[in-house]
Amino acid sequence: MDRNATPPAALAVTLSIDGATVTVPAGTLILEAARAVGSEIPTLCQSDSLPPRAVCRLCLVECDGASKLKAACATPVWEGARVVTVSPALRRIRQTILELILSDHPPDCLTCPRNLNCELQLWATRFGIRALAFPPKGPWPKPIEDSGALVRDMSKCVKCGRCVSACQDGQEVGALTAAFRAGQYEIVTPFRQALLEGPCVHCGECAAACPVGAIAEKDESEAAFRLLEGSNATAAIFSAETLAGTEDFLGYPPGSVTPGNMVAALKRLGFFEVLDRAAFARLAARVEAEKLSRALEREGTLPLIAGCAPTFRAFVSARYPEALKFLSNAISPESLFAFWMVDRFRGAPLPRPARAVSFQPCLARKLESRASAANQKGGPAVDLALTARELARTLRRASFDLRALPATPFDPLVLGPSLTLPDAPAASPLAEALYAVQREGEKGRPHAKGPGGALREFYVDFKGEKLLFVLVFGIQAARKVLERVLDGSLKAAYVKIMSCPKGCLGGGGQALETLARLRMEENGAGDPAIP
Amino acid sequence: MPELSESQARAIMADFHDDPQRLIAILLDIQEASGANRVEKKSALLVSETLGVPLTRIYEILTFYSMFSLAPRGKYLVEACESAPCHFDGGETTLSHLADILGVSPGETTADGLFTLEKSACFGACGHGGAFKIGDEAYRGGSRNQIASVIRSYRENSPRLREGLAWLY
Amino acid sequence: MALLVSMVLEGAGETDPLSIKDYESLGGFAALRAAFALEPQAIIREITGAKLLGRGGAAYPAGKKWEQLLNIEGSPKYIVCNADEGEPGTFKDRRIMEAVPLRLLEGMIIAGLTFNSPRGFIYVRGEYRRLQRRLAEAIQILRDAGYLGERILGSPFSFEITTISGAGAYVCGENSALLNSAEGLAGRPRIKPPHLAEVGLFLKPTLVNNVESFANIPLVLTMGGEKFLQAGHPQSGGSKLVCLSGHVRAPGVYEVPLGGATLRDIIFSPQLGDGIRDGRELGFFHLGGQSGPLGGPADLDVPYAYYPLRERGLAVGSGAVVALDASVSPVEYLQKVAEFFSRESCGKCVPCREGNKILAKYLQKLQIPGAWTPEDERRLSDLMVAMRRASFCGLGQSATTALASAQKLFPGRFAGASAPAASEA
Repeated sequence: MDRNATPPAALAVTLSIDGATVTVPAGTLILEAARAVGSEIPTLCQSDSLPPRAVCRLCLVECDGASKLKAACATPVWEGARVVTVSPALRRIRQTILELILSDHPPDCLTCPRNLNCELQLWATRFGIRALAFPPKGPWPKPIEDSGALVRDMSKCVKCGRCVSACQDGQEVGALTAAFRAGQYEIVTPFRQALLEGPCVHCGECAAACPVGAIAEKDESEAAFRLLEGSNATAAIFSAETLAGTEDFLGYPPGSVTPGNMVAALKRLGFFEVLDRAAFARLAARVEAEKLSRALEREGTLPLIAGCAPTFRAFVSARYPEALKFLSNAISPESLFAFWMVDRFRGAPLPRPARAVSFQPCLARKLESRASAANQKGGPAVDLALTARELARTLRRASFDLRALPATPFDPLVLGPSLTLPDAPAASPLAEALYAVQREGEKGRPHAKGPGGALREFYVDFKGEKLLFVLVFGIQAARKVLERVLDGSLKAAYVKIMSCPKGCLGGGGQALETLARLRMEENGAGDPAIP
Repeated sequence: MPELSESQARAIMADFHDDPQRLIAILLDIQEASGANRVEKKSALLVSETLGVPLTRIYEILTFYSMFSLAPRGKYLVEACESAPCHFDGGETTLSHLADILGVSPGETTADGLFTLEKSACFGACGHGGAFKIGDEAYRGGSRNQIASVIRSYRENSPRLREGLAWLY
Repeated sequence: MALLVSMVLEGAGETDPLSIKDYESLGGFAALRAAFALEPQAIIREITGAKLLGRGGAAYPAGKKWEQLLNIEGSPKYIVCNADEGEPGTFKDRRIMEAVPLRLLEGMIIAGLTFNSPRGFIYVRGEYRRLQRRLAEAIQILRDAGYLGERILGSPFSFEITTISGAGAYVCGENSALLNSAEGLAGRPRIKPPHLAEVGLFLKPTLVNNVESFANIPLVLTMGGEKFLQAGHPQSGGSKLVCLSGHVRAPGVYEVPLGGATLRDIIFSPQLGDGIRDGRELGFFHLGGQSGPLGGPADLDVPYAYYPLRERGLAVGSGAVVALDASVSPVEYLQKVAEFFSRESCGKCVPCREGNKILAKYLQKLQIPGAWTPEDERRLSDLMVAMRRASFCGLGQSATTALASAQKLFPGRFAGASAPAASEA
């Protein structure tokens, strides 16, 4: 619940921060006002896209006239305030706080997935911590890998609660919670159940919110290299949104990596074919269109609701079981790709084994890979589904500058008479419309506060009728739509739900640098996570 | 160990008008009715579904508050105060008498499933030797025999034996 | 001034706690009747004039708190009684609820009237299950007699009181944590601002006062603020329920007029503590609960009242006085205090969660001869500052109060400097 009182609109407040006078709208937090005068207050539990928690206590500042320190991340400015953000006492207190956090943190930086991109590392470095006042001692809990996609290494958890907030406040899924008290306080699933047992949609917002390496994607980039070593028939598909992730991760200017560069780079790494994911997405849309037109003809249960990934079903099952009858088991581009990879060598003299690897800024896809514990259906599955973060790390291991590689076209998707695809229906306007909605979802809405909003409506002409298609971003918005479907107030033909609030571009598997850049663009704020 | 049925749990929630604000009272009553002095996952799931609150919130409550237990406990919860006013006034002695009489260490349940011994924080019975509590009743510290009488009173269901150490003003 | 008075506890043990007739025979409900004829500002004026300080531990002036709530826009306004009483060594609210519950309820009804509130809640700690039932009975009896419910005493004012149970968490004594708990959540404190007078229970403006504070309200109105003030100390009127425990011969709840008894009276007078048992000497005493300061024999002649104690670096706090004989090691005692806080911390903020754990370890180390180093001294000092100034709520902020006072009271026991420097642990 947001307990911060709504500030009066259009009132300006003038205050002094570190001696500099600044005027800001009423309701501005001290933290934000400080950024405006170039004072960067340390934070760890704060995130611009989540409500303040004020638990790390790093952001405390001195205010003239107040005997107690105030949390800059949670305190709005007031007229005539005189705030000091740096002082010997504050420095000492912040240093002690960091040492307290480090007293319960394993010194494993070199082998941690967040080495060089960790907010705890950042502040420990900036505060020049050398000797630890309270040396950390194990034993450390072992990482929890109870889903195919996320690894929870709680030994690294700094208990900032950002993941819980992202899951409960941001997404309103409620898969994670703070639990226990005192020294046993920890971030955990209820009854320590596997993430797969609860409503988790594997959007990865928790991993995206984590300032350290406590929750992260299961890194399978090593496995990708082993695949390439073991087979000369490994094909890849990638999502257009991974380009931005690669650019931001490697520090390239936006737009400097083209699809052609990426195709070339993947081939250099050893992929024998690189196909356009969009082609499979179009095929998937055709399959979905068939389902939709059958539902429309039957006047069956409408709207057809499609989550962006099969994990959405777990959420609906846990929280809105009456809505299960609307849910479409969408066949994903990844499974079509996998099917095609296996099938294409039927009778053809190409070397085996054939492998399929997909890359996208999506965490949930991992559950559709053969490697995932969740994939028990035995249906077609890619061998590996890697996030944009893993793709970027994979490319970093290579020593070429992918921008310099000659632009290479995608390999063609050949559907000859010897190759079949399940239910490969013809292209149709309905399929094109579904594909267009899907693309909108993938391109995303980078600016959550900007135009477009969490719900977008599209009208599609079909057999003389105007059908309403609704595109939903994020589970918080999805819940409202599900409720409207259940109470009958939403008359739509098709609802597409993107688990991630910013769409695929800002997905839970996207490069952290891209996510930080998107947050910065949205809030006009500084983000210390970017070095 | 018989734990409560779905209809029992629903009845408890109905007593509180299925009001999520009364979650703590509901869970305390469910714990009491369970016969095992705890709330199990099955009950938590039912409460989650009936009241429309996420399972995470229920789990946070069950683990945050000291009075709840996820693991089964004995019929009678015997709690010895370990806070400073009792500790320095015979609290250690009370605890050791209880452990000795019951034959268990703090955190353990007697083999017959009747008593679980735990240490607890102050429950407002200070000033009369190390205090202990059995269920809702508070007792003063006393000699080993006196404490044994109290325990026997529960074992034999004879309340008169408790009066010796009953905490009065 | 007599050492003991019978104001808040008048009738305790002598009357039937649930009998309206008994309570009225002592003047009960006269204050409520009078309150109907007063404007809210007039009621608050009496409370301000009485200089009634909050009796839960924070000692915030009740008149000021009520005035603030009166000036806040918004409705409904809720009245919440903090009956969490988790502070070790404190058992006075239990006494009030068991022996004179009608006085507590009358105080809450007067508060309800003042703020035109429709609902009051008594948040009672889970360990006081029996008392919750007692209060529920008392509430029903008042409803049946027209003192609660619709149209109280024929007026347009309606007020309901409900009891809410805690479930074992000292931190729920902190008002914002209490409200979260009352809403059916884990009892972790809230971010301030906004303050709970503005955004309180269910986000509505709320008054939170301690049991003893509410129980004093009828007295303030029947005596009038001036007389109430005179019954106590010039800077804080009325009486205080002192909870005496530890090594005294006669532990228990004693109602003393503020300023009318000294610490010596409380611990040694035959009317009160009657001295230390077994012919032993007083070592030190702990005032106000685990979060309060320690005092020693040199402090015994300080009058027991808010300002005189504060000036001396001591405190009334909850009213707890734990007196320990000279055989108790202050360091060992403080280790127990630190262990208490490290278990009761809600866990969400770094300084309190991690700090209390380490504090307990340091206090253990101080008891090992030769182990304590100047480096430890420096780190302990930094840690105490961080906990006191940076903790999220009062629990962490006051967890080091006892230790800080003990360092001044027993400098030799906490320095460890005379011992040869040991190698770093």
